[in-house]
Amino acid sequence: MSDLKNIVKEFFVKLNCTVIGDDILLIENVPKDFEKIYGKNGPYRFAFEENADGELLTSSSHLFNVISEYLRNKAKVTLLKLELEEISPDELQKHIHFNGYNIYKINKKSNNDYIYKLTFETTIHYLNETEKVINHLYIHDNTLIENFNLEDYQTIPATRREIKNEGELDMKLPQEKIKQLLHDRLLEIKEKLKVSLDREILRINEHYNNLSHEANKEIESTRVKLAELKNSHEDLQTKKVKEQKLQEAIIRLEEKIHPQELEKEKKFHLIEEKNKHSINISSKLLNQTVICFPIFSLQMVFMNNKKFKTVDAEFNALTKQIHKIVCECCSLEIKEIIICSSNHLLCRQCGDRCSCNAIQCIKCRKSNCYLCSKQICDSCTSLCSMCRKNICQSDAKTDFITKKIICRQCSTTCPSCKRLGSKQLFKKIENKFYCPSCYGKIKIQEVF
Amino acid sequence: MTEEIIINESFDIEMSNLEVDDFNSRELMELKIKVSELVTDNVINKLISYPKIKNNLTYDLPYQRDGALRILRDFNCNALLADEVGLGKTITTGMVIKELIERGFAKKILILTPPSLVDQWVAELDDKFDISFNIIENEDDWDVSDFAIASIDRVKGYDLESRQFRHKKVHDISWDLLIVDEAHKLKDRLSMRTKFVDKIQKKRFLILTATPFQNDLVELYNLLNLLKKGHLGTLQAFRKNFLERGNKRKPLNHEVLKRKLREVMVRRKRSETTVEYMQRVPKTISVDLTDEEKIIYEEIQNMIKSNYFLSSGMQINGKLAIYAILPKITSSSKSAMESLQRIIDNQDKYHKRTITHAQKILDAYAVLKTDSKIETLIKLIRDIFRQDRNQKILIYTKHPTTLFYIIEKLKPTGLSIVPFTGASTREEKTAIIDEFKNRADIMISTETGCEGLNFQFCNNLINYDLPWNPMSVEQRIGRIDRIGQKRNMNIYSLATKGTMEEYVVDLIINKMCCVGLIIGELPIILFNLGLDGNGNNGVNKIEEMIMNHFIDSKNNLEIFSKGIKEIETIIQQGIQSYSEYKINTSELIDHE
Ligand SMILES: [Zn+2]
Ligand SMILES: [Zn+2]
Ligand SMILES: [Zn+2]
Ligand SMILES: [Zn+2]
Ligand SMILES: [Zn+2]
Ligand SMILES: [Zn+2]
Repeated sequence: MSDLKNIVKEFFVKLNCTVIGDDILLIENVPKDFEKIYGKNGPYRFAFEENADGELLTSSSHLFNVISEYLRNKAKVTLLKLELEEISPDELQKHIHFNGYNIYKINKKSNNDYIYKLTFETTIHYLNETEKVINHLYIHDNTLIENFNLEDYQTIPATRREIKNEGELDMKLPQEKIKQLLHDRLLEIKEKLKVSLDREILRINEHYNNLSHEANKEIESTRVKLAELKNSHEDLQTKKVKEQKLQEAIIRLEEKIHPQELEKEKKFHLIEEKNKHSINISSKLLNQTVICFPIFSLQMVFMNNKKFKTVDAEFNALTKQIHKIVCECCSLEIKEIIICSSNHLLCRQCGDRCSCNAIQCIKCRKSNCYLCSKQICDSCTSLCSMCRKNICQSDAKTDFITKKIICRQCSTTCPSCKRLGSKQLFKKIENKFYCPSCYGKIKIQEVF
Repeated sequence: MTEEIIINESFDIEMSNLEVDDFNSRELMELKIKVSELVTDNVINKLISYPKIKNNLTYDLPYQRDGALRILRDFNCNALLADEVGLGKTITTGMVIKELIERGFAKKILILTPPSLVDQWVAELDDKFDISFNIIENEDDWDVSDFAIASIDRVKGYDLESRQFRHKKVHDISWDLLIVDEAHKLKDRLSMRTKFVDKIQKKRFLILTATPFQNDLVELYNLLNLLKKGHLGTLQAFRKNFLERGNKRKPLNHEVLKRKLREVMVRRKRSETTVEYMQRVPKTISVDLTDEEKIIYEEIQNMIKSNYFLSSGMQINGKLAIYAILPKITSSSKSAMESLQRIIDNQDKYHKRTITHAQKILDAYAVLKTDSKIETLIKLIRDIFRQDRNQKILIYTKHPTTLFYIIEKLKPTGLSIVPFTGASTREEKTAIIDEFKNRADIMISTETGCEGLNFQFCNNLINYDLPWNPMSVEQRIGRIDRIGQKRNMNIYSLATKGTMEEYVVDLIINKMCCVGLIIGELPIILFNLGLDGNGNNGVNKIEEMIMNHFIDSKNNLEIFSKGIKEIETIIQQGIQSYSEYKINTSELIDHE
């Protein structure tokens, strides 16, 4: 009861009428166009309980048909905005594992996404009965979604401008869905109709069967008379006249029940009866609500050991989900921050550790030590200054003279001072290579 | 055997109209949905469209609403509506149509009526129900008419050569509702009219007639067989079960037959309703011409009879030419003079002798001191108001010229007069009715555009001139002979003494329009007689018959009166048969 009252109240307030009263509603300043379709001039006095002083309204009152019709071409499109909160760095940590990295700063930008709520009124007409079903369908990204219900959300009105990106909706989707939703009810209606249709079909079939049966019987009996006549002893002249009459009667009867004509007529009436028992379904879009909600694009800058890494992400304020943080190697979404030694963001599957304990990803420039063939990461890769080959740390030596890195192969130890240096700079004395200073000393000793 | 049920689907998304209006708030959207959910009438147990049309109807007659509801709810609109004449079958049917449209059941509707009722149906459906029906004239009209109305006589034509109905398009359409008015004409099973109707694909079929049973029970069988094949069995079975040998009217198993009838029929009698019917009292007002006027009258007749020539010397005796001038000349002196002046002004068209003749008559008019017809009218008006000053008078003329002439001549009386020469919108009509009802003493009207004007507060009607088409006269009287008329109606008709006018008034007023029939019965009688349509000259058949007698009689009143008598006899026979049909129907259906 109070529901009805609320509807009435709400409606007339929307029409800018003056609505007074509590138990009985007094409606004043009713617009002319409404008075016209209601067929009654204001002011109105509506009551919701028996014996109250006013026009009693029940759910089957005409007023509601009129309101429904009045609103039919109104409130067709509703634009709404969900007011959702942004995400704070603290909250971010609930969604993403920082793995010890620190957020240096976050840049935020917001974009709109849309959910369409389509409300369909489907009317099923059959014989003189009507059934009405209201269906609400939600569409996001041209997919029907089940887990959203507008009633769970607070909204504020949106403007046309805010929803400028709104694209074309594929109406096949809701059409199919509604068909699906009606399926069971239609089966029941069909069963009901079949009973009545079968009865009517029986009537028609019987009627036409009787017609042809009757006529056939008549033809038969005329033929019998004709045969009897032939055997009778009447004079020839009378016989001839009678015979002709009977022949004509047979022809007339045969024309009357012309089987094809009769069959055609029967078919026509059977089809007519089937049409009478057909079901008409018409669906109308009562309202299309565009629900707009923000998607935040985040640019998070992480910092570790003076190295910075920018990570892009999307925060869906509706689902409270962080999206679009992807491994730079395999493009899978990730929920934690792992950065390799060459500053790539990566997932656990794509990462590895170098012997130096640094994180290494499959995307990183990978090299093997020229000498020991061991995999080496960027940070522990050395370049031999002599042979220009990549070498691992354990194979990398420092030339005591040039202080440059040289590989094991390019280096040798001076047998005299035991210092390590580049082979090329060493000089040979009796199959042994000496560093330049030891070489000099030995040569001077030889002279003296 | 089980048949598959046909399912038709439509999906209306109206994307093009998806505009944002002031009513786009969430609250209103939710309200709209809430109300939509509330309004779910599964079965029809009230007329949801009634409040919309209520204000258009002059009277709220519960039996009309009740009839419509029964037809919709109990019969799914497959029924015989056999209310007695005068109960407003059109209104009941209009309510059915409106409701079906309102509830989304009917998108294609066809009404077949007698020729003379087409315009009336269209006007009523438009005025009272806001539904506009398209009149089918040509075959192409079927393509563009969702709500179609046709004179059955016009569209039933069968082309023998191609062995097809000329309007076969109607048979390709699946109609949601078919209505046949005055369907008793479908009593002949083998007639083309019946076959035409039987071949129409229809989901709902409403048959209207006050006399479903006329002479022979087989006629009733045929009518019901059209509605529901086999409802009364085969014809042979029907004869065996219900017909007494040698008596076409008394059924065997009367109770069984009545029960079978009730399964498909709605019938109410006037005596069951509170509607009262007032009498039409005919009063011929003789116009006595002065000697000078008599000469003029005769001269005019003479001119038409023997001195009416084209400039080529050809005599104008074609019926159409005479149809064109005769009514004007007999309407009023003013319109006669206008017609004569037109002849004189058309020197090229008419022969010198005719022009001279016309001039001579016009000269005679110029010196005329009296207009007896208008004086008779003024006297009549004075007499009426002397009896009761608060009465209203509705004066009819066919010609605007005469209308303004009467107004001019009535000016000195000081009476308040409102002229009416046609109105199109409902607002205009309402304003006119209001003016006449609340301010004016007299309304002077031509027939054009007067459908839907109801003057039941007025009970005096004066035919200043009389149309020779009885249907037009019925239209005139129909303005005051309406539900709500509380007094007997005085139907005054002016007729010039000693002229054919007296015979015409006698025929149309005394023998047709005011013989005690209920409004609506005369058209049915003429329809039964095949006289309600137009003849070869495009005018009503009765009018044509009178006109032909006039032309053939060559001003000989005796011959003319014989011709009129012939028509009278035909009409009387029609009335006689019709009363028999009424009795027969009533005995079969109404009596215990
Ligand atoms: Zn990866
Ligand atoms: Zn390493
Ligand atoms: Zn890497
Ligand atoms: Zn190595
Ligand atoms: Zn090296
Ligand atoms: Zn050394």
